[in-house]
Amino acid sequence: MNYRFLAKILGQLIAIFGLSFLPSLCWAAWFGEWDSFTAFLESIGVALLFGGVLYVLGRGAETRMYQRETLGLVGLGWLVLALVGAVPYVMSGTLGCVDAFFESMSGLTTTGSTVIVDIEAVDKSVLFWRSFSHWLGGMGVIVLFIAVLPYLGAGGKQLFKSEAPGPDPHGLSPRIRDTASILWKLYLTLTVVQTACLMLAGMSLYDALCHTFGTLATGGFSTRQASIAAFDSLAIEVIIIVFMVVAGTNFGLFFAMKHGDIWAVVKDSEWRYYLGILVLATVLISFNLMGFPANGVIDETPEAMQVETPDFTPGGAVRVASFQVVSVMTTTGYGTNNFEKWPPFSQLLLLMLMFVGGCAGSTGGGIKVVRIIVLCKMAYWRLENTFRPKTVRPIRMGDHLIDDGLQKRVATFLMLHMLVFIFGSLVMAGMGLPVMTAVTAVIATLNNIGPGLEFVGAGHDFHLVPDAGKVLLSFFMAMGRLELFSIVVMLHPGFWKHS
Amino acid sequence: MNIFIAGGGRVGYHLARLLSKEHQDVTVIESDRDQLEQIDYALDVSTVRGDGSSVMLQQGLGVGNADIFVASMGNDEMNIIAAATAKGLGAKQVAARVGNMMYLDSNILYETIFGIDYILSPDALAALEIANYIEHPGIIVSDEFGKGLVQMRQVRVDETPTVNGKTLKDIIAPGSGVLLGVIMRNGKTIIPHGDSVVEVGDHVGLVGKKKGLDKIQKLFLHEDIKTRRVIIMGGGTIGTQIARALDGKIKSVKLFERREDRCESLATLLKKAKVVCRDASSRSSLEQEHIDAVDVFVASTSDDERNIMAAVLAKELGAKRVVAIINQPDFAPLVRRLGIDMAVTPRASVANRILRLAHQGEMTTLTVLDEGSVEVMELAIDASSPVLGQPLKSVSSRFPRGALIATIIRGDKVFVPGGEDEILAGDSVILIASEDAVEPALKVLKKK
Repeated sequence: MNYRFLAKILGQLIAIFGLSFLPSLCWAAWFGEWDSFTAFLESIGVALLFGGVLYVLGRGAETRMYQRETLGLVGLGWLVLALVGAVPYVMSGTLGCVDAFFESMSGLTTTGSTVIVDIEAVDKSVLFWRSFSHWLGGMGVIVLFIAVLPYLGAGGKQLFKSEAPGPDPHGLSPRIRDTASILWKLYLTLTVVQTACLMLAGMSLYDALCHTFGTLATGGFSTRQASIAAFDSLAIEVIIIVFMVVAGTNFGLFFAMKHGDIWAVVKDSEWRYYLGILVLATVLISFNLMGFPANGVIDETPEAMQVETPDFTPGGAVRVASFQVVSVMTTTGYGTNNFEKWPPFSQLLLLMLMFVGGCAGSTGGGIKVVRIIVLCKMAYWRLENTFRPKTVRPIRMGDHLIDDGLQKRVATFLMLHMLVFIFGSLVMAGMGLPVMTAVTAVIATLNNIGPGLEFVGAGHDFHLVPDAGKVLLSFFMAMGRLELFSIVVMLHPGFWKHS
Repeated sequence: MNIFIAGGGRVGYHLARLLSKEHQDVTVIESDRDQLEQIDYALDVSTVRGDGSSVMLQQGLGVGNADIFVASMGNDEMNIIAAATAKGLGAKQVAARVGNMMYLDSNILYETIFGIDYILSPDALAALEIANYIEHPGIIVSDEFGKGLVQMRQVRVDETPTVNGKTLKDIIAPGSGVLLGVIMRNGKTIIPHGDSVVEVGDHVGLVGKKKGLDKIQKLFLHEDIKTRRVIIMGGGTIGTQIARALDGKIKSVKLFERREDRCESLATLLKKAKVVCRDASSRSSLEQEHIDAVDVFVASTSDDERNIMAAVLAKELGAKRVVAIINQPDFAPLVRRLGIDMAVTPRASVANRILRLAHQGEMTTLTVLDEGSVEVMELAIDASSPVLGQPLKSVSSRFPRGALIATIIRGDKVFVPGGEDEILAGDSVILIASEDAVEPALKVLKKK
């Protein structure tokens, strides 16, 4: 491992990252929150100092990047940035150290799980930083870094692949630096459009920006305790639904659309599956919310187990169902209705959707639609293979052939994902959390959703989880965002050795 | 510039590497997955798996909008088809790499018939390079700039007491019109200044007018020896091409080839050169053919290790200069330490030619030395250049360390600029720069 090179790049990364506190600094001045203002000023100083020291340590290191350095840079980079991102929460006195790290990681990884009990009591500039960290993490801090720094070359490509979500991000341009800047420009454009839409629908600039960051990054932090429900506006909900769907779409497709292929999105088979799942789940949950199939089949249900299901009109059911389905599946995590009060079928379906996630190359987390589809097809053909052993069936995704190597990688990924999920749930339960809380806390963080169910559900937050659990969950968030490998590999002792 | 390379073998890889370092948009098409993964990992280019000669694939990738398309797969016919297809789709310039001499001998006809701009053979280019070296001993590369007004020569420093250990200031008097622009020593490249020292065994790059060069060059070379006796080992494409190029020009050319049937056909092909049917890597056969009287020994089989060992052996037995063909480019910088005077990598020769295509218009000529670690280029300066009318010493602070302006060509006048000289619109300048310094140097000289 080329530690000095790592230090040099990390130093630059941290210093540049420190500048991203500037917008919050401005808001602090605008709202007259002078305590937060000094907190952000101090945070910038800390970032520049820390980054500067690392840079000096690594000065003059050879720019040699191999697989180790790439993985180490991405994995360590995210952990260190989450630490630096936690500084403002601590400096402003909003949160303690562990809580701040959790909140910061949750922001950067676009998870949206929070430990803040009363959101509206927190300074607005700090809340802005919370949302802004979503936005930075959504398209990827390191992707931004690649777009800015000229000298990474092919190493930049490896970094890009480690950070960008999905099995195989297609280069939009032969040169990685162009690809990175194309993506960020696209992201920026979408941000401007959504902010304008939300402002037309009646939000203030501040709220519109924060919610745009939360939507496009599929994050989920809101400025209100009641999340989107606080606005109670159909227009705002529709805008956010549309942009959540957009954020869960492969950004490469928008690039193709811009270059003349207007129907690129519709032609993409992964996207059609993605939309199909969204629509199907919305329909199922809408019917379920309207009381079909009938709830309470078991007549002798004990009093304690009976859930009071709110009554929905058909229109109201579709409205909350579509919002919640899109929010959960794209791994955003906004809420317009407390789905813990929903019938069991709807709750469980939402829980399943949490694993699916967005499309490859989107800002969404989860396992990704393309992997789920490939896995289903693999299972189906294996089944056929048992009674027609000689039939050769290639697995396709649209026109693309999914070769053996990719199939294996997808299967491995699922296996690792499940292992982490099982291990994590057991540990959380071992810390004394109830079953549903332990399981959904891991699902919600590992898939970068945000809220889980029960004590970590939409009506609650993660402050009840013990500190050790919070740290573990923070690592799960990073694993989810970086698709496991960059973080898991750091646990392997051989990874750090010199030879 | 939008460049497609079909075939990611040695030539394709090397080319992709050079072009991507210059920040060109490069796409490599290759059918072998392992090869493709290696390229994808090491280079900042985009990779596509598939058959480069497929018209559907080419169309899907938008080869029609390409500025340059290079077919460098393993098979000649596929390369010709791929290049002709790319041209048909609308690619601006296409090149096909071939190995078969039949295509190469009538390359102009084939180029016209298939509409391919360049049919190139790495072997033939390498052979040409070696034949040049044999005819003009000591000069490794020579190239012309400014429509022949200026030459660039790379010369190997012989054991002459006149220059060894001396600084550049002492060797080349100012006003001679010649500049020593680059020193290559043990595989490292140095862009020198006045106090740099020249050592025996260095390769030095000289730029200047032809007359001045002839004079200065003698300082570095032992004596103006003429090559009389040459032994070539290996009757493959390269060996044969060298023998044909030297046939009749050099007094004695002997071509060693092991296979008898091949010897026969070689003998009919060559007029005065002799074909010897035996292995040249054995001590006895070399001694029998009076290796100690040989001026140049060329090892040109397809096997790198055999070439290196045979060349070392020949040197040991008394050959004055030895040349080896090295296909694996990682070896090339090492062989000089073994006493081998010149190592030629065929793929580098082709890549250099293609690199020139990429710079057409912006630069008139470009030479690449030492596997691309140094570039020598001629730049036309127009009225938009930001350095016009400033003395060079004030420009030099902005100029990168690894680059220097070797010569200014103004009309018919050629001179090595000093600190007081200015660059004027309409001038051509010859720029020598190490690979990292090319981009920044161009930025200073040209408006972006």
